[in-house]
Parts: sequence; C-alpha cells; structure tokens
Amino acid sequence: MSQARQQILARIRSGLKRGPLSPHQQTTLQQQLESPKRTLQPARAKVTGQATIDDFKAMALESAAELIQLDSLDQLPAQLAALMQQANISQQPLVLADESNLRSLNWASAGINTELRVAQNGDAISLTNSLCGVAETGTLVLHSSPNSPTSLNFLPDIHCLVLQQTNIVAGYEDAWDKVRDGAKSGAIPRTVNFITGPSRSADLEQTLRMGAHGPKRLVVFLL
Amino acid sequence: MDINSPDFIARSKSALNDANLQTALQNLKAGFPSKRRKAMERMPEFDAMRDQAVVIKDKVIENLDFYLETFENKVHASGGHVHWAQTSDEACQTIVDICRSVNAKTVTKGKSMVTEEINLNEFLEKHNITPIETDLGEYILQLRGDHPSHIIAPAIHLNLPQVSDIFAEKHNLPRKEDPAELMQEARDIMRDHFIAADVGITGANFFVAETGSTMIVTNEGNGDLTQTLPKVHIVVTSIEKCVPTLEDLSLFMRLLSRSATGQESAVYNTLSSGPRQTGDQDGPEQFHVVLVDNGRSDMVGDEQQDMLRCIRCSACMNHCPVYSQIGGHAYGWVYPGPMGSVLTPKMIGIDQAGHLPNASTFCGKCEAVCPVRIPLPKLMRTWRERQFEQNLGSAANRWGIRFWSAMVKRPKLYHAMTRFTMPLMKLWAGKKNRLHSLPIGRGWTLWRDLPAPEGKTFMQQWQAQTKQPKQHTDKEMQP
Repeated sequence: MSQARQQILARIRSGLKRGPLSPHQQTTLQQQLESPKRTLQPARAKVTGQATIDDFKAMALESAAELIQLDSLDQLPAQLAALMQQANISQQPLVLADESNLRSLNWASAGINTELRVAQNGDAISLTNSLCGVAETGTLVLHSSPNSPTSLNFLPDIHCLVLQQTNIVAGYEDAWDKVRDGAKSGAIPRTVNFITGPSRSADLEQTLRMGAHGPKRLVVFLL
Repeated sequence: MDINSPDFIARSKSALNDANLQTALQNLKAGFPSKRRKAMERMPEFDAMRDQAVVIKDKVIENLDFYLETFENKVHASGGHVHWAQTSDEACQTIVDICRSVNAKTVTKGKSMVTEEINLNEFLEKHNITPIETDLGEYILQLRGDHPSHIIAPAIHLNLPQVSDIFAEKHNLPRKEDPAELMQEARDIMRDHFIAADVGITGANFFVAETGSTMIVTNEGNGDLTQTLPKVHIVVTSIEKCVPTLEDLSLFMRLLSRSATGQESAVYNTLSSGPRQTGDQDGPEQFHVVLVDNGRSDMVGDEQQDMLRCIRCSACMNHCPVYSQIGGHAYGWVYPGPMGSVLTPKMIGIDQAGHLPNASTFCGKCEAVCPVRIPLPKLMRTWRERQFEQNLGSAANRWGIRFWSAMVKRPKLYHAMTRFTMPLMKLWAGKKNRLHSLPIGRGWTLWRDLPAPEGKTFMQQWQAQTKQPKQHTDKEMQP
C-alpha cells in the first residue's frame, strides 16, 4: 500500500500548493514536537496546594468514584476485607498488581486470598496503584507495565486503586509530564488510561446508567 | 451502509410520521443541549479554548504531510504498523489481510464511525470473519440489522421496548424491561466475546504525532477490553484526526466530552502506543493503524477544508432543529446532521447527497456550538452553489434560483416588483389577512397560513424612517 501513501501525501501537498516541506521547516516543526508547549489551560487545571487535593476529591466523587482515606497503607487489607464482605465477595480472590507496596501487605491476616496475574473473566475485584490523580476532573491515571496489566483496570466488577495524595496534579498536562518522566528510557507505556469514575452507558434512552462493560465500582484509597 | 440520501425528502416525511422515532427524539432534545450548556457554564475559558483548537487544527492541516509521516515513524519505532488506504475497499482489504494473517474467526469492535463509513462489517462477513460490535448501542443495532442514526449515540432512534424485544428474541432469554437488567444481560454476553476474539478493532478520536499514539474516548470500557484482550489491535482512523502533541491532546480532551455529552470528562480516555512491551503480561502482540483517506486529502486547500477540523463531537446535530425533527436515518448515509450535510456530498457525491446541504434553515446554531468553529452554514452554501453549477437539483428549483438572482441583481426592478405584489397579496388574503394557498408556496401553506403583508414594503418604510429623523434633527439643531 506504499502507493496509497505516496498518493495521499501527493494530494495533500497539491492541495496545499507546495512540495514537501523544506528541511528547515521540518526541523522547526520537529523541535516543536520535541519540546511541546502548553496550550491555553483553564484555571481549574492550574490550581496549587490544598486546592489540588480538594478539587480532585470533589470531582472524583462527582464522577461516582468512591474515596476512602487511609492513614497508612497497612490499613488497606482490613478496609478491603470489609468492602469485600459488604459486596458479598469475601470468598473471591483479590487480583493484585505485582507492585511491591501492595504485595508486601499482610493480606492473609485480613483473610484475603490474593492472586498476582492478569484479570480473567469472572474476577470480582482487583487492586492496582495509580500513577497520579488529576484535580481538574477527578481523573485517575494508570499505565501498563510488567507489574500492572491493563486488564486489571477493566475486567473485574470492582477496581480498587491506591493513590498517594502527593501524586495529585492539577491538569492533564501535568499528568502527561509524569508519564513522560516515567518513560525516560524511550517509549511511553503501551497503554495510558485516564479513568474518571466507573463504567457507564447512555445508550438506553439517552440516560446515563452505571455498570456497562467496565468496572461497576471504582474505589480510590487515598494515602 | 447503503446510500439512501437521494430519498431524503421521502425519508424525512416518514420520520415525521414515525411515532416511535418521535418519542425517542424527545430524549435528545431534553438531554445533550442542556448538559452541554451546564458544562460550558463551569468552564469560563471554553470560548478561548475553541479559538486555540482552531489554531492547532489549522496548523495540522497546513502541515498534514509532515505530521502523518512523523506519526508513522513513531508508530514504527514503538513496534507498530501503519497502513495507508485511499478508499474504503483498500481499507477493508488491509484489515481483512491482517485478520487472515492470524487466522482470525471473530473480531470485537469498539465504536467507530470510520468503520461504518468504509462498510467494514459487511466486508468482514463476506470473508467469513464475524464482527461483533461491543458498544451497547452498536450491539443493539447489529442485532437488529440496523445502522447508527447519531455519531455518538448510535441507537438514539430506539426506545426501551424495542431493545427488550430484540434482546429477548436474539438472546433467547426471558424478556426484560428494566434498563439495568438489559445492560447486565449485554455485559454478560459480551464477556465471552471479548475473551474469544482474535482481533480487536477500534477507531481513534485522535492520534498524536509526537508519540505515535492513538486515543479513544469512551464511557463503557468496551473499547478498552476490545483493544487489550485480543492478540491484535487494529485502529481504523482517518487522516485528519491528528494532533501534534500530548499538550494539544489535553485541550481536545477538554473540548470533546463537554461538547458531546456535557460530561466533565468521558470515563475512559485511553492512549495506545504500539504493541505490548517487553515484560507486559497483557495487551496486543500486534498494533496496526489504518489511515483512511476516502476523499479527505481532496478537501485540503479546498473550500471545504475547515471541515477537516471536525472532532465528531455531535454538538451540531444535537442542536439542529432539522436533525431533532427527523433523526439521523433520514439523511440516508453514515454522517447525519449539519456535519454530515457537509461531509457526505464529498464522500458519495453531490449528485447523490444534494438534498442534505439544502436541509438546513441556516439558523446558525451548529456553527455557534461547534468546538472547532467550523462555519457549517457557509460550507453547506458552498455545496448548494456547486449543485447549481453542475446543473443538479429540480428544474423548478433551478429556475427559481435564476429568477431570484436576476431580481436581486436589479434593485430597482426588485423594489418595483415588491411594491406591486404586496397590495396584491393583501387583496388575495381577504379580511382575515392570511393566505391559505400560494401558487409557488404550497409546501408552506399546506401546513400553515402565510400572514399577508400589511402596509408598505421594508424599503418604503426604511426610506420614510431615514428621512424623518433627519428632519427632526435639523429642526432641533436650529438655534
């Protein structure tokens, strides 16, 4: 199909009434891509300090995410045990991202059976970390990695995640910067998920209803 | 999808008489516009952001060759493949070839209007590959053998009982009426498809030159399961959906959800770059992007170029007084509403789609709500001009335009004519001052009377008014 490629590019250039861009023009555009500038950001995406955390919480709740504040990560197994009991899924395994901070917790003492793997059909609940939260819309940012398979974010009925309050940023641009920073070796991760609340659909009579194909509940443990 | 646009007038008439459709369209009128307005009110910078979006999109088009080649290089660098397709057939063939290379029997599909445009499902079926639509609305339509009537709310023309019926029939399960139960039923059935599919096909709302990534914006999560679980992920998108950087993408993420559903953010904004990476335990082993042209490159440098800014938010149709009366199917092809009335003639020909740019009152609401400020009425007018130049449209219409044009180019004749006809119309109207029928205006008077003109013509009144104040002023100015 390289012929298609040539012809499409030729038609674009003929429409623009020019040939290929000069090396100088290409270099200029290339430099703009390599050091991207922020465009107009709304004030909401530029808040600082406590407002970042407050805005994040308010917007996350508005998106129907659930927030649970923790003093320390050690409280997590007991909290999750309670949540699982309430949801009547105590006998189900908690599918865990293979992250050292999560793996090292004392799950057995809370009576939770954990499995470190990708998600499967029928999984009731998963737990992952998140790269950061975004204040402007209460969004959680996650990305694929050998330790955190993307299926954990979508297949289970309940997706739980841990978010450090210090990792809440104001706007999307700050989140992309974090993604880029984590990818200093080169390529950004295969998948970056911006998740705002649990799954829903408006396809039945244009009314938003929760619980479409993704998780029915999104539970954020804030540290 | 078959082309039915030449039957626009008959289709819109039957749409107006379709009680089910009219009930369903009430949901649209009550929903999207007011939600969008509320989202606007919470974002004071929205108008400034729209201006910025125009600048970015225009820059992309002015340098589209550069951005497409850069995107391609970046996809290659991340281990993916880019395929270029000039036509629907080229795109479909490319996709079938990829499916065959992995012996695919079933493919799951996320919602994608470009795959509707290229008629992908039919092509796959012809080659013994079963496509399964996973978006709830698209899935309902696939079960019914139906097509989307809206670009983001595909099943907007259906009511709940119609969904209950088709689920009961096709799933062979007891009929359910509760929306939550219907959704659960679709969810359960779709799970097995997600797991079994060999290939997942999604569209892309945007693709990013800086990183060689594609982005889908969804609420259900079906697109993510579609692109995460199978061995192969194919993205089918069109060449104009490019944005330069992740910073630019941020701006468009903010504009899209708010303009579309009025949400602060869609639930899932997902960026995909290449296949799974070393050590990743899931994600596709192959990543393909099919860049579809289908007439878009001809719009570069053309009168219709502004249309290439479109981000498919659907705000134009959500606010359109014509769309909200007749729904999307009346338009007779993939893209309905004002954006479709500009795009469809380009893709299927103005000879086929001639009615569409005429199906507008030019009230201007579409342009007023467009997040990338596409001058939709102006572009529709351009199509009307081309239609006239190419001798298309009915003879009566064409003679009418000629007559009108001859008149307005001769102001004196025009004014004489109006001065002459106005008293005649008043006489014709009788005591009630209303015209029940007009020789060339039956389309109007069939449904309502035309109020008869009273008194003098606009120009007569204008002349009288501009004279009078002047006399006043002169008098007042006297010492």
